[in-house]
Amino acid sequence: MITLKNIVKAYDGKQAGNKAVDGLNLEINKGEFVALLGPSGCGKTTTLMMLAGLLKPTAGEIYFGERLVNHVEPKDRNIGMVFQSYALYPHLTVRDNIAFPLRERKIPKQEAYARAKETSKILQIDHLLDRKPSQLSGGQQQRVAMARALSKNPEILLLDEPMSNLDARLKLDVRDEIRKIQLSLGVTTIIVTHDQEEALAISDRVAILNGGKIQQYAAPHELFNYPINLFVASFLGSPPMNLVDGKLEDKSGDQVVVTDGFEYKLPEDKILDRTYMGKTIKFGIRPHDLVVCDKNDNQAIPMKVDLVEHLGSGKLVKVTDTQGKLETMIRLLTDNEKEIQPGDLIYIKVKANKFHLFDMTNNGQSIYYTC
Amino acid sequence: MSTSTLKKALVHTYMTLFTLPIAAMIVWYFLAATMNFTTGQFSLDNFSFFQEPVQYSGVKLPMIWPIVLNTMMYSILIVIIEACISVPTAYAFSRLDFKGRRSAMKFLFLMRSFPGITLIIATFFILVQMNLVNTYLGVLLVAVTGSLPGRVYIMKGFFDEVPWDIEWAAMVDGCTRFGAFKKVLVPYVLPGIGAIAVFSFLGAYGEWFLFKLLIFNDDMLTLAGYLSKLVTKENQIVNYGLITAIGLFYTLPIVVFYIFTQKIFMKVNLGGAKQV
Repeated sequence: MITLKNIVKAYDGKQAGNKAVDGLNLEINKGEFVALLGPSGCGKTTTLMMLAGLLKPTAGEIYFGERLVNHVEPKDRNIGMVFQSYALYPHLTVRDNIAFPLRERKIPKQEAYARAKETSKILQIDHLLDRKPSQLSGGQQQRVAMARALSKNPEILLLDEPMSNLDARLKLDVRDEIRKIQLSLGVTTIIVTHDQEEALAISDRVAILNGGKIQQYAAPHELFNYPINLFVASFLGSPPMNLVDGKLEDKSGDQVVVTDGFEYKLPEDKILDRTYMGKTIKFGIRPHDLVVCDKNDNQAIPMKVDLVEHLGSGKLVKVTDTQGKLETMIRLLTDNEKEIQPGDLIYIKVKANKFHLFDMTNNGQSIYYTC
Repeated sequence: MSTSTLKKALVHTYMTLFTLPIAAMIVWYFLAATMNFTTGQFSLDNFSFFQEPVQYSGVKLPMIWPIVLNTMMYSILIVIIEACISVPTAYAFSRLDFKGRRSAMKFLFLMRSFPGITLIIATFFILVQMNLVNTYLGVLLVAVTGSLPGRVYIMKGFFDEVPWDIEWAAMVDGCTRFGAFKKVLVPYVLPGIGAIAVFSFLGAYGEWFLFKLLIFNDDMLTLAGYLSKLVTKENQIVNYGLITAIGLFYTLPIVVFYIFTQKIFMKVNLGGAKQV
């Protein structure tokens, strides 16, 4: 198990006092695949570098199991790492690249080469062993980097945006393969990525970082369905969640979300404490949780269609309220069969209970998550 | 004639006109060495310096072969010393964070552009005080000191090009910082080391001023100094045939050396890491 306790990393020099990582706590179980996800500058790579030992934390403790590793050199941590640039040694052949970590452990050449060959077979690059890195394609270089990281049977595998230099289709294959290998070897793996789809698809748990802090650390579906705050809600999902400014009000016994363009009555089982009334909130609904409905439906909200985008598998419809008072357009996804043209008047409703309320007086915390 | 051929012809004429003087000089150089101008016949008389010490109208110089040995020893020693000092120094300037790095870097740049010749009188007196005049050590010290800033500066550029990822990868793979330097970074910047080695060699091979100034024994000279001794102020007679013959002997290794080493200058990045 890996434990990070109150990790702080402040860089000195010009940006002195600027904390790249600011009080980060994280626990990773043995054999788990964890993704660190966040926008650039959120501290995810810094965290990975501290796990590798290439950076020393300013404060806090890192444990591998029971062992405090704060001051353990990278070479003594038994980690494998794949870099974004792959960082292959250009003067060595693929075989020597993969055997390099083994040779550094004083393993005899014969045995190191045999193990390099074994590892290369897992990654299906055993036919490339005699080539130099410059003679390989991007995908092959990536595999060599993986093989080099895995050849020493590391306790922990660290992946620093390993797929960002591959083209979209290759990415999907490599992603599946990394996951498969990770499961078969059972190696604890931490991946840093800014690609949410990648993070959600590949990992057991995802830690979403922003401003050097973990916003939410949970399984992918949980992050998606129960975002803890506004940042997580708006960061995850494509197309992104609709977020409408509003206010909670008590209208003759009914609790209602009042926005500039429409009102939404909270269902019976989502009734809130009275103290929430009058609070400024953001009303969040994912585009696929909005459906086009009949005019007579009691929850129907009339909307004017502004724009229709074809996504192939469906349509992305952007609507606004009939008076045009809403500041942001609302996005919803429909299937291809529905005939919708810009300028049409349609009626939409929120799928049962599929909405989020974020308390703007409390840093955008999700109201339902906390209560 | 079409316009394109006309253009080509013009360009070629133009280039030929400008190349001609240079070509003429080289041709004359070979002729002067291998022709007896009084008889107009081909002769190898000028190359007798291979067999016997040079001696004509007051100029008396030792046999050339020990001088050749001196030259080779001196040049190779300079290459080794300069490479061994400049490579780690450049690494430190490029990668390590130490106190005074920026000011030292500025000083290095200043020293690189500073005309060292203006310091030569002071240098001479210092060497006299240290009893290093007329010793190879003295020449080596002055020569290395003079050229080191430039070498370090070039080498630093090569180290700056090495992605951090490569060094980090080596450290994760079990190297110490020094191990990463030795096993990964030095091979990575090998073309750069080759380049400074060539510069050092050419510089040392052509060094005559320091020998003229600091070495008083003719048998301690190197080829460049030897060549310069052929022309002296005292006698007004200059033996052009002999000078060009020895000059040819002196230049030939450099030309050959250049043909074999020019590839190093062309091949700078070997690839292997994508530049992000």
